[in-house]
Amino acid sequence: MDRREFIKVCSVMAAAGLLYGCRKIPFVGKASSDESLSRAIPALKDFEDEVEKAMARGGKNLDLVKVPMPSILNASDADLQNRFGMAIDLDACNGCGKCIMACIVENNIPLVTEEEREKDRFMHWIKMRGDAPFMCAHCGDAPCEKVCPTGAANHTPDGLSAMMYKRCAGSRFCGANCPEKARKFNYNDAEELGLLRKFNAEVPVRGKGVMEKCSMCLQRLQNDRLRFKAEHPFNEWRGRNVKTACAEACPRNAIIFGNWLDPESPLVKAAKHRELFAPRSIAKFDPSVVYMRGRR
Amino acid sequence: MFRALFCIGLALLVPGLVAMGVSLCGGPVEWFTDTQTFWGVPISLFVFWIGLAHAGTLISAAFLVLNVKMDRRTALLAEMSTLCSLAVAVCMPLMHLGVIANFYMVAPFWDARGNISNVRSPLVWDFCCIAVYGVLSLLFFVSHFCMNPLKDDLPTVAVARAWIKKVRRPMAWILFPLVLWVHSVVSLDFASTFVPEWQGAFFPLYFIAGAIFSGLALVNFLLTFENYRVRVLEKLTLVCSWFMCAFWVWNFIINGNFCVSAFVFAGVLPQLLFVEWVRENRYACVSLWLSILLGMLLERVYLVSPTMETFGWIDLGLVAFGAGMFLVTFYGLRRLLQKGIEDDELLMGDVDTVGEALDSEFEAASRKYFLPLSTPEYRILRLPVLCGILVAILFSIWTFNANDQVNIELRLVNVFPLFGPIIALVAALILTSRALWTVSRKSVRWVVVSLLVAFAGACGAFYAGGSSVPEKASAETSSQLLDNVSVVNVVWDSRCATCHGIDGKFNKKFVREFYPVPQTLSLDRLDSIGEDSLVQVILQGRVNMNSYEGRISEGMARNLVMYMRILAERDSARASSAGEDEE
Amino acid sequence: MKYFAVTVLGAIFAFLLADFMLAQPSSPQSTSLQASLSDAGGNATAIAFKHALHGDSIGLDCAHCHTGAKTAAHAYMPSKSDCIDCHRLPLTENPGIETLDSALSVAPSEPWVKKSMLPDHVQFHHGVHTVAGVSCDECHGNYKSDSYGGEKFDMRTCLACHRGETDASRNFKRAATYCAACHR
Repeated sequence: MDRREFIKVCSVMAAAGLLYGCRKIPFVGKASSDESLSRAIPALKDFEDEVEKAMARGGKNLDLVKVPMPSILNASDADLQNRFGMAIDLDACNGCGKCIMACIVENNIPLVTEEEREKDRFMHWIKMRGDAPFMCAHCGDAPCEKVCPTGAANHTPDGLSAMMYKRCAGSRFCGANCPEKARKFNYNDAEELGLLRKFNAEVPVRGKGVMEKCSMCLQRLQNDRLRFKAEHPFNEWRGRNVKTACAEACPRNAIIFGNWLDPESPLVKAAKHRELFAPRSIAKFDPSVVYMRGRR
Repeated sequence: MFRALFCIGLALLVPGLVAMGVSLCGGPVEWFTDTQTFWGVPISLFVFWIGLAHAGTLISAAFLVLNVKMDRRTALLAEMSTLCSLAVAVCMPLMHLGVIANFYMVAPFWDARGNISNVRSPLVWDFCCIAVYGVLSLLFFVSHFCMNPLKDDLPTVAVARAWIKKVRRPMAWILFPLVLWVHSVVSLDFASTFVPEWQGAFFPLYFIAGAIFSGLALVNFLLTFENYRVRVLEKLTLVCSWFMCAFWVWNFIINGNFCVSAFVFAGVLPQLLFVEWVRENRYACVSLWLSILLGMLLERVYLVSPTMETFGWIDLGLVAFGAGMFLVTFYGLRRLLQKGIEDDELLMGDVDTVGEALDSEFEAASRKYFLPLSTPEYRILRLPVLCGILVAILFSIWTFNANDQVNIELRLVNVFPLFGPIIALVAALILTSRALWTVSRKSVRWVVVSLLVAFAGACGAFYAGGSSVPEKASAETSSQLLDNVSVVNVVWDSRCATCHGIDGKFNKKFVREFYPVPQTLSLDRLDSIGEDSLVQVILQGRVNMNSYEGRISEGMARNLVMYMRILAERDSARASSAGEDEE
Repeated sequence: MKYFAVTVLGAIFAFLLADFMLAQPSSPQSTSLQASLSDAGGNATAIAFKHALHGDSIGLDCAHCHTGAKTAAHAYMPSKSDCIDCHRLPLTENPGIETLDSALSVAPSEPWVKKSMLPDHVQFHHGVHTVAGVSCDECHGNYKSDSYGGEKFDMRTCLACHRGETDASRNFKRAATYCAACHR
């Protein structure tokens, strides 16, 4: 074989290789739609099993330091009436993990494949870290938002660190920059792999290649806000009817959701006389989700 | 020889393209990603290749600025390697993205919705810096071929060629800081995060040193195949290796991180250059340069994902893709430009400094010592750079406004990294574009024009933004709402008010014309009928009234009866107050 | 100079063309397809709904049939029984009414097909907008002439209003423009 021929053969092989690699990409030939009809939907039991496995793996204990009570967000567009947040009562929490399951059901969190499970890449927004649930702390001065190139990670005036999935390009810079690694990356198309069960029609399914994390049940806040504004156009909405799924599910009332700026809020009432803590690495970023322990 | 290298490149490209295809379709799950940082091999490869991409132009520009004589062939090869490795480098972060189709959202350009990328993010800086760096490297590279006068030039073309020759050194003045700037920005991707391994002010320096080191190794590697040796470059490589060793030791002391394989391959082995036999032996040299490249690659991988232990198949494939694509594009391009590199006497023996410029005045000028602000380069650069600064200021004003719209608070620090590339781009375009245009052939012009138009079209498409495709098609009917609505007046207004009127009297416009007037719902009447039978009327219907059973629950019907009373009371109150007014 | 002009004009043209092509609202469709009564098989019949006949002229507003239009998130379409509430008696002398009545009698219980164009990740609440003083025709401009699909429901239009960039005479308040106000 002379050189010319060799080059030809190589080029053909290269092109074939690319085609082979891309065979699943839409324009080369998408999986037929019949497949989607027979797509498996996992049972509730599968999710429970996975939560158990995730809890058995455990995580590093939280390294807590004292923080002051969260106050008005330090942003130019901050809402002076609302700043939503949670407090997790470490004296009450016994680490049962019911919150994880509630979160899964509320937010349509998919299962992960076997390989991902081994790499500890669960999609659960809440992780048990030494008998205390840990989720995104919705930092007021969030490091993840600052590095997101597209602006998909951004804050709301009322203190949530929100995530706009459609704007996400999946650079994972936010994930790299979160000191506590609260963000989860959709490595797989869970719907296609039959790992997704759409429990809640209110929450859109996140596609492959998108970052996600605890949204503090944004959908509940949105729904309540819109309903309230339609019914009471002249009143100020304080989000008093809302509770996050984890707070609702906690049998010992250890997770308390509320509005840090509303003295009527159960959160402020509960946290007023307690000592507040946050993980050391994010304490300086003004987290909205804090831990409380002991009496002041 | 070159053909053999080209074939090796092709052979590497085959598995490389397979790996590329698999990872394009499978996404980040296919290759190794660090659990802590979510980043993986493509990012290491990106850093590696962008490092290589910096060396060529840097060497050529820096030598030009410092008046170090280097022959044109070396400069050309170095700059060509820059362009090729840049092409490889650009593929890597694209592939790294989870949603590749959204890559354009990283560009600091707004769309009709007012969305703009987050200029605070180092990735946006990266995007701009690399794009500008690519354009300027291309201009610098192209200027090699446009500066030598040909016999049958028109006078205007000859003037343009002379101009290009004259501005090469000012261009180098722009490129030299730009290269350092770009790589500092790339290093900020890492240094500005909260990952402990990446933090530290020394990081940009460390990155630049690494980039120059690996780039020099690559240029040396390529030169060895040209049967060529440039002693300055070899010496520089050695010096860089010491720098790198110092950095590694420093990093070990500070952070406790140490990559042994990188130290051996890129730190220890290059010291063999002190042995004369190694220096003189081509094969030994080639393997030395390769070992440096390998060491730096391992070091970059270690840097980006410290938890990585072994390469998977796809990871190796991506490495092969990089190497293969580089070799193929480099030697393909070299073959295309062979005339310029080998046959053309003018290019071959030429020395790439302006010292030998035709312009004798200029030559004399370059020999003299000048205060920095009175050098001829400064005079040429003054206006374009000022224009660049102006554009940068305008850009920052615009960005500040645009970001204000999306509630992102910018500070000057956030926009500052973009100043370098903007100033460089504007200045370089002002300097060269006109002359290059005059020099270029008709076909080239049309290609440039159509590329620009296509680019503008792409910008327009980006500006418009795709329309969002509705994900559900639902045919929702009111009955669904009535099950949930807690507010009785909604039900009244939608179901009863057609005939009975919103105010509880009747809807004159509808009823008079088409229907018999319904019973007035006065207080007396409501009381006399009683709640239970009214509920029955609502649910079962009566004469001209439809049955609402199934559409309205019994509870809701009771609420409706209460609402009727409220309306009737309001009505009678209004009537009595109207009566009082009359009195 | 020639090239320069070609480049600049071509670039501007390409930009605008691409913007125009992509941001183009879908063209209005005739009533017979979109809002006509469907028969039992779900196929559209020839009888088109006329908003003009069902509106102010008989003293009704949108919320009479589109129940949620003023209070809820969705406006909703009326069901067949909602139509029959009024159409149980022949409502005009027009002989066509018989065709209508016979069509109604065989129509499925949910005779109006309206696809919700709102993607999953967008929240739009009709009620909030009505309360804020936005009337139906601000967005559904052509509903009275019964041509549909020409409305421009895109984020650009939403945001122009939310940022207070629309006609000042309409006196709309500036509304929330942070992403999570409408997206999830």
